[in-house]
Formats: sequence, C-alpha cells, structure tokens
Amino acid sequence: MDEAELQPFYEDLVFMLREKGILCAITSGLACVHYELAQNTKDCDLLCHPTAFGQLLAELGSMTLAGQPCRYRGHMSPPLDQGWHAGGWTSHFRWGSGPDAVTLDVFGQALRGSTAWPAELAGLYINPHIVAEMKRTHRDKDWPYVTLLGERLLETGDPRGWLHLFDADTLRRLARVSPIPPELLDRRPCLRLALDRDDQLAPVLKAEQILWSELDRLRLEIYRRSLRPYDLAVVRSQEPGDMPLSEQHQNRVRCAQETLVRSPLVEHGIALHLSEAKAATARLVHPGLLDWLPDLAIHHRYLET
Amino acid sequence: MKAPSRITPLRGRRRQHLRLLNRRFQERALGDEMARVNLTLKPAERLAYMTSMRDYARRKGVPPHPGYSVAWMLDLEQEIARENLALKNP
Repeated sequence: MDEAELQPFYEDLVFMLREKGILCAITSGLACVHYELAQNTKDCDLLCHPTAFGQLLAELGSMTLAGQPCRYRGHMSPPLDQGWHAGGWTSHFRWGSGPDAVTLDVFGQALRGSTAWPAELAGLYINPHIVAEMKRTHRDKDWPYVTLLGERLLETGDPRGWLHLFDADTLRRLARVSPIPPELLDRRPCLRLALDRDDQLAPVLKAEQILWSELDRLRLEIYRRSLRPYDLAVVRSQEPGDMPLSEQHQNRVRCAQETLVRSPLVEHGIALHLSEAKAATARLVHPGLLDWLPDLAIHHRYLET
Repeated sequence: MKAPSRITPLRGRRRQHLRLLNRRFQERALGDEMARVNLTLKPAERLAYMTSMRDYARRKGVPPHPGYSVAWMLDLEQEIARENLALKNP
C-alpha cells in the first residue's frame, strides 16, 4: 500500500468498525498528523474498548489487504483479551510482512490517561488531551508534541492544555495574559512558578519531563521481564505461518494463561513504581526541584478499574 | 480532570498571541523546516512531504523505526532469537 494511502485506510477502518458498534479511536502519531503536526509514522495506534475485542478480532480475521490476511505481529504480541489489556498490555497486528507490512497496534487502555478515553472522542480520533498524556514517554522526540498538543487544547478552549506545556518560554508568556484555573495549579504545582515569573520554572519543567521519562523507562523494564516467558512460549508453540487469526488468538490466550502476568505494574506495586521513578529522577536533578513535581498516581488509575 | 462541558475557542488577540508562541516553539523544537511544513502546508501537501522524506530516507538505507508501543517488544524478540541461535551454535 502506498504510504499516502495509509491514513485514509486507517480512517476508513475506524469508520467501518464504528458502524458495527465497535467503540474505537485513532491515537498517537497519526492523531498528531490529524492535528496538523507532521510526524514520521507508518504505524496506527488504535484505542478500542475492551468489551468490543471479540468483535474487533472477528473483523480483523475476515479482512484481507492486497490478498494478505491479518495476523498477530511476531511472537511477542499479547492476545487481544480484556484480561491482559486491563493490566496495560497492548496487541499488535499486521497485514503482509517485511518493511511493506501494514500494521495495527491496539490499546484497550490509554496508557497514562487520567480520564476514561471513551469520553474523549473527537471524530475518528481521540482528544489531544489523551494523545498528549500517551506521548509522555522516554523518547525525547515525543516531548515537543506534548507541548504542541497542549497549545492546541488551549486554542480550542480546553484549559487542560496547561497540563501539557513543557516549554518554559511559552508557559511564562501565556501565563502573563491568560488565567490558569486554580484546580490546575493544585494538579501541576510548577504552574505557580509561571505565574510568579520564577526562574526555577525551566529546570522544574525539565525535572518533570525526566520524571515522566524515568517512569516510562522503568515501566517498560517491568513489562519486558514479564513478556519474556510468554514470547518463549509462543515460539515453542510453533504457530504455522498460515494459521488463521482466530486460531492464532486461541494459541496466544493459551500461552498467556500459562506464562503472562496479567498486570505487571499492579503486581510490582504502583506506589513502589512511582517512588522508584522519583528516586531515579532525584539522581539526575537538583533536590530542590523535586518539591515542584506533580503526583502521577492519577495517571495509573486506569490499571485499577 | 474531565473535558469541560462547554468550551469557547480562543479568538482575536489571545488567539494571535498563542499562534505566535506556537510558531516560535515549533521553530525552536522542530526546526524551521518542520515548522514551515506544519504551519504553511495544507494537510495533503504535508502528507506528500512526509511521504517523500520517508522514501528518500529508505533509498538512502535508513531503516524504518517501529512505533513506540511495539519497538521494545521487537527488541526483546530479536534478543531471544539471538539467544536461541547461540544455544544451537555454541
């Protein structure tokens, strides 16, 4: 498929799934493209409500693309099953193989999302607020987009944009002319520094970014440890190359039941995870900056539902 | 914090001010070229630009980067494949 055709393909896919009653929305890189922020992305990240996983799986199983059936991507993809997605796992699909494969990454939960994503739809896409929360990763290249999505939210009149500005100059200049809702000052203490024109703003924003990065890095380490035995189990199961998606799914569920921890972060302890990320941040920033960092527990409530 | 029940898009001078800050930030964070792509091109032109950049990179041998959600899984898969190979051929 021509790369220029990919975005319309994914939009048509979401449109078709919605018509069949499947609650889903495009997020991440393609959502940035939709919000007029060019990103070099070929992948599509799709949020899908876990109660619709069975329907989604049936639709994907019956869909071919240029004669190619849909299959799980590699050995490592966890099953598209509510039991594991509730714990923060994601599932990955492909049509075709090699560099020309068309891929689909499915999320049942918006990672780091502080609100329920089904309430945040914006057409076929998810609201920039959720995209910006999901973009708080360990990758430096994601961070400019967090700020840009925050600016977009403010332009559309959504005050939650203040939560996503990570550029001191932008934040300071905006705070001079626009009021910050008081509840946001409690949620994100560094906004007070912008109001007070405090020189600590830039280093605190950097510290906040480091905290998010460390949180994501540590999260991936925990999930990576949990995925290893599952990956080995799928390799040992020797799925035939032409196995239909429905059978492949049954095999993945069987392997997962035997080897894959459903919610690695909950098992590790969310409070412990947060304190480890803060300790890792403390090794990289001045101790005086730590008092200004936000409480990130709200971004893990999705794992408790 | 839930989405506000009523939103009023920025207008007039406040909107102009935000757009100015947005342009400055894009130039600093993404560079002049990407700021131009984002701020002056129409969606179809932007898509064509990104497609041509990817094609150029591929012709020059730059490997494609898997997305965030799957990159670490693919790394692990390759690591396990290397380990299995080493066990078979010690």
